[in-house]
Amino acid sequence: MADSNAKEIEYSHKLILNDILNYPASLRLCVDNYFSVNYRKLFQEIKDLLKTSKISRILFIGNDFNYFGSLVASHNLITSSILPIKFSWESYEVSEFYDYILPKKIDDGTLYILISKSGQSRLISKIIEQLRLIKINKNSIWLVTNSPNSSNAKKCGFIFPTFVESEIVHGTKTFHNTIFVLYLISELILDRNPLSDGNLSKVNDVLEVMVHRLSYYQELSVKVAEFFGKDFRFLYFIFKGVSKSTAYNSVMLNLSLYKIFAEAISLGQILPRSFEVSDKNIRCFFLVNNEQAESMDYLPSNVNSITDQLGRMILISNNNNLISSLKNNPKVFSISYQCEIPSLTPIFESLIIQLILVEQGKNTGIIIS
Amino acid sequence: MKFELILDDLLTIPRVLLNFLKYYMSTEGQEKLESIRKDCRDPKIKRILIIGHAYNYFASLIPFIYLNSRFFSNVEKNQDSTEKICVLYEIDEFNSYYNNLQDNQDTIFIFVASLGNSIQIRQGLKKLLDAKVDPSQIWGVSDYEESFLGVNSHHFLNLQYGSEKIMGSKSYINAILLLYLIGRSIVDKEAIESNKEEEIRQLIFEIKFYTQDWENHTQNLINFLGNDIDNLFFLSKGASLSSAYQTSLNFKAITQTFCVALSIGSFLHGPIRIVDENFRCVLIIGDNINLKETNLLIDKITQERDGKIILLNNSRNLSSTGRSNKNIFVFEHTTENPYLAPIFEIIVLQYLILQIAKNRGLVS
Repeated sequence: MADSNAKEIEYSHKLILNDILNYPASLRLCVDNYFSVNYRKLFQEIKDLLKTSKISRILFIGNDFNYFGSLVASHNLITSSILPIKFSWESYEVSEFYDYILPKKIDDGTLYILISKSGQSRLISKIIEQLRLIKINKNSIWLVTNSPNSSNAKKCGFIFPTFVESEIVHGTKTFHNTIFVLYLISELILDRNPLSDGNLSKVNDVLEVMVHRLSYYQELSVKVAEFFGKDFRFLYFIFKGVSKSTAYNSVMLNLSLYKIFAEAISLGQILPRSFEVSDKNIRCFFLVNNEQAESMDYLPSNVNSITDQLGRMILISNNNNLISSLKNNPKVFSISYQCEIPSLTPIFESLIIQLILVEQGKNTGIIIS
Repeated sequence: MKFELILDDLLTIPRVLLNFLKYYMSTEGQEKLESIRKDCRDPKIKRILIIGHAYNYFASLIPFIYLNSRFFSNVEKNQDSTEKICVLYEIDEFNSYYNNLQDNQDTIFIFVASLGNSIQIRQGLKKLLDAKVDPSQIWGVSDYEESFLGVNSHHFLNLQYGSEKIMGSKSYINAILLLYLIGRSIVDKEAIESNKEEEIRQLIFEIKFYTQDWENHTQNLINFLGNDIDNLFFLSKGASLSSAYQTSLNFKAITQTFCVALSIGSFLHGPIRIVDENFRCVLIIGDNINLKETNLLIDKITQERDGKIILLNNSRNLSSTGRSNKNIFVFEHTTENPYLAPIFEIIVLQYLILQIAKNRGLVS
């Protein structure tokens, strides 16, 4: 998203688009690094450490896209039926954590996973200082960052780089790579082996599909922009499950870069209210993957209720049954993707949404063409 | 929707709160809260999972902040005497995805639902019962003891709100108060010790006083916002985030106006770029924590970008800063307890929603 501290920037369509088209390469770099011998060794070391630790609480702490990325890890933990050790977890936006949760005395049962692109943000620095002051074990402070050599990184027990070389719009590639890294971390916490050859094969499949479908999604984004039209002012990102991460990140991107009013809302929140805000100025996205799809046969009727009230909707999903059951609803434009790893589906959703938004931004003159 | 019916809901809130207090000060009410307190003394209880929907989910933010900020003891002494963690789930997400159903002896599941009979609440309870979760670990907060939730709850706590025309107008307020009292009981405190009773009575008095002149107060807010607003932001932090989320949901539903609720931290990281001279927001501050960041936000909105803020707060210092700024309308209240402040905040905002809806001909 646009850096709020930066002066107003005139982003060009070409510049942003080229950056988006480079997302798979950026993720590939991150994947290749993690599936190296060094990280396999590090992950084994951490697994052994976790088995002997007294950890009973795991906190994910980050701002904006870092916080939203942490929702993926939290979701992965929620859906696991077996926890190797008894622990609970929470995700916090960094200001809320600093103001209300940051411990004032030793708390040796908590693992702090800090997520910061620069690794040097003001609040992250203050949090690390406070944790050191109260003598929290260094190994209980982990840092997910794109600056593994920062001075704060040296104060943390384990560093998980995001390997983003550069990005035009702040937090876009970083969001995707952060999701990937936090997925690996959550698997590690669950005592699984995320760096196994089997998992590498699955991740490679995800990347191959992404590269293969990129030009298709680009073409689709032009059609979606036509489907949406230019006369809307408000966007809803309706989500279910892990897609919460994409929905919140997309809202931030809309508000900060494209200056479109947007709100993320769960399917559970939107339905009973049947959305009384219904006028021609509204469009919506619905983001849901195929996780637990067998127990969600109610989704088509939910979508129909929403489109009856709100009008045009873009459905982004890998739930083919849902997509097929909505093919006769003219108010739904469906975009499917393939991804076998539920925790990585937000990367697909985000990629597709960003292609749509940049096209929309060009059409409405928000960004220069 | 009938204006008079909704107004009647709002005007009866002080009475409803007094009835609530009377019940939980009675032997029966006290015994219920004491019983929770006693059960939570068991050191094996480590986790309190609160499951609710819409406004009940937002009200659950109160015990979430209260319990998880266990090292933050400025407001309540000895708050760090517990190691119980609070986790929140929206009922739909809990039913669809929550799978940690084995080895749950350390967890209390609290369902919060006004009626306690919805399909989703039934599904959630069934999920736990099918997984053979010990029934003593399932508690319910609702208004109907004979509901599905009521009959399946080991501890049942009544919301005591009677009836309401608009869902949540009264039950949300009682849910905040009850969940705060439950939070206190969980950390082994007397739920309504004498100074708390005094605080609650003072809050009810302030609401009653506001209610007597609600039209005037609300008109002042509307005059500041302007009659033609087509969007509104609700920004907040801590326990008062519940007010931002709840108002955003109701504002959309009743005034048919687009609005967004965000934490101050999130808003400062990017979305602040949307602020211009047409920007309007309600900034809801219910505590004195990190006013530096709040002041930074105020400066960025009002000085750098010429946006306008209704500052709904309980801080004398913040209010005095705001009063010298033409882009700020200050509404200061005197409920200092940050876990009770959301009750007063929502009262002010509910009247605002109702009056805007009336002005737009959406209620008759």
